[in-house]
Amino acid sequence: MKTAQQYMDDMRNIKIELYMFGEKVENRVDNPVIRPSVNAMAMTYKLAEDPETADIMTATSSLTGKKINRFTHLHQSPEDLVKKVKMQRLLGQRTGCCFQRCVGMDAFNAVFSTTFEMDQKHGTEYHKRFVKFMEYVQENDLAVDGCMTDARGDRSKSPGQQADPDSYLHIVEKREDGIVVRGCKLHQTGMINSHEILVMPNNSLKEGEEDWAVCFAVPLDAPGMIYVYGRQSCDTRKLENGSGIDVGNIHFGGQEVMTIFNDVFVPWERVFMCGEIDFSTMLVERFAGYHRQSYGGCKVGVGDCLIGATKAIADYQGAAKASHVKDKIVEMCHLNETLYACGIACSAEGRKTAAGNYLIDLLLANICKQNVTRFPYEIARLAQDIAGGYFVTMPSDKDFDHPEIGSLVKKYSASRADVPVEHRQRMLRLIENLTLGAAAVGYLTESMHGAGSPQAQRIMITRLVDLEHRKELAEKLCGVKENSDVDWK
Amino acid sequence: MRLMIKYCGGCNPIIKRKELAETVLTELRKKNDVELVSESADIALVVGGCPVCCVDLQPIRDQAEELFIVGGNLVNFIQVDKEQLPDQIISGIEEKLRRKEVNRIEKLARVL
Repeated sequence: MKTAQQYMDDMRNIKIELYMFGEKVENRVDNPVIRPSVNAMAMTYKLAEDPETADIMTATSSLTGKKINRFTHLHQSPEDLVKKVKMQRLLGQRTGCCFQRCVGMDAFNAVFSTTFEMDQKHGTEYHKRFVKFMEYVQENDLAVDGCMTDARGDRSKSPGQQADPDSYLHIVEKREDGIVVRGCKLHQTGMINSHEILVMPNNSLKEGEEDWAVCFAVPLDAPGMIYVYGRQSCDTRKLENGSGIDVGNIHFGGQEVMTIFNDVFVPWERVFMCGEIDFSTMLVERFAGYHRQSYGGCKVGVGDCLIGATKAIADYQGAAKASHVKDKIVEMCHLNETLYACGIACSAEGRKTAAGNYLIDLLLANICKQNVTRFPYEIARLAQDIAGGYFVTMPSDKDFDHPEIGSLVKKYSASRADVPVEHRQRMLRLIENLTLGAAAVGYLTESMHGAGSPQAQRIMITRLVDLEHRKELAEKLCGVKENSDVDWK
Repeated sequence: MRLMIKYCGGCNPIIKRKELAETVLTELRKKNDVELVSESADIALVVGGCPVCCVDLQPIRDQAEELFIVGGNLVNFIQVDKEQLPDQIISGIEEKLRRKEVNRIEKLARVL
């Protein structure tokens, strides 16, 4: 397995075409806007090295029998699925943001089982190719970006009906040695911090849309790849010189990157689906299911940090003993642990696939994610309620150190006499960061739309819940239908 | 004594695992000759952060003659006060060692 330092060295060595704020970025790792997200990914390596966390962060490879980072693992049991959720909670706690490596893990497991079933039906050899790719990933402990969401153009039209066919990534040329693809994937969180990209189709496809049914892997620095860094609320605070207090989370952060595939060549050994429209739904649903499970771990870990920050600020400001404050913190815990319970439940109810790896219970994973679209917002609302309004009106850290007004700013920013003003300042900035600053991108909006917007889960819930069975239960109880169970005298 | 210490992943701990293990180790070393090992141990001290203690025990069983399991405030599945944890663990491990030594002597006596 790689150390965190080896991972950082890898990132420095992989040169890519990246743009941010209208300029080309040559050294992304040491760029102050980007570095917090690289640090978050590095923690997935660091904790695998640490004996205090290694038990949850590592697994035994089903392919090679070697010890591997769990982020490269193909789940072999419901216990593996549970440990995945626990690992994500742990990382969320340690980084307070999206640590980016889950999407690849979810893609591995979805592609592994789907390619197996695809080969069974079509006599293709995608699974064999994918196993070889996975061995390479595990052996080299690679970070892989699972890549699904297309630009999507006119949302009322399917990929084949779009005015611009590139609105959804597709095959533009088939050659003897491989394929050429064009398109754009949006919202790619871990993209520029990864070694490889694993691309999947965005949605269900129909006849005539075979060119959009494509799954493949390319290295981050493949020719034709262009990356454009997304803006975040408060992002330029990371560029300010000084103590970093105003950033809130001083080491870690998330990011989103527009990823353009500008006629990228993919050799056949890296192609895992090429025109099999009948398996696009399976691949999308399995990936989405795994990723909806993931949110029952990672968002809970970040929630733990926000609950901790809320408890701390209540203490610092002298409000901790108020009964309504205590009750609101209990409510935050209740909401957070409910999300965790959903993550654990869909894992414990996991089942074996034909390929041998384990798939979460899709209904419970969708229930998990549906709750994730709501509860973090309520947790954030309660945090803001308890914190008070100063976290959105507090002066800049530079004003606290100003030679003329600094002492006055500090004097009027004081709370409990035994609590340093700077402690209150730091904690309020962290709450700001998580609930409406840069980290709110991950904790709130990503909770809403990541792994599918709320309606996507409601469609799946409608499909997976047997309502007729429930109707019959009621009809038997009230006598609309005969109940043959009651056959005693 | 050859002692192995194994932690759970620590996703939701209710105790400070490393601090606890270090206290236990320090105290044990005051009265015993303790060698910290990663295989072929006399005893493996498994420190889980919560009562679930989801550590995979099978590989540890292969590397240690006896297991001593702490899961949050449970010591070998018995609930104890958190303040009592170090004392309970130390006395438990020492008791296991004593029993092991008695068994060894009895076995030797039978052979002789």
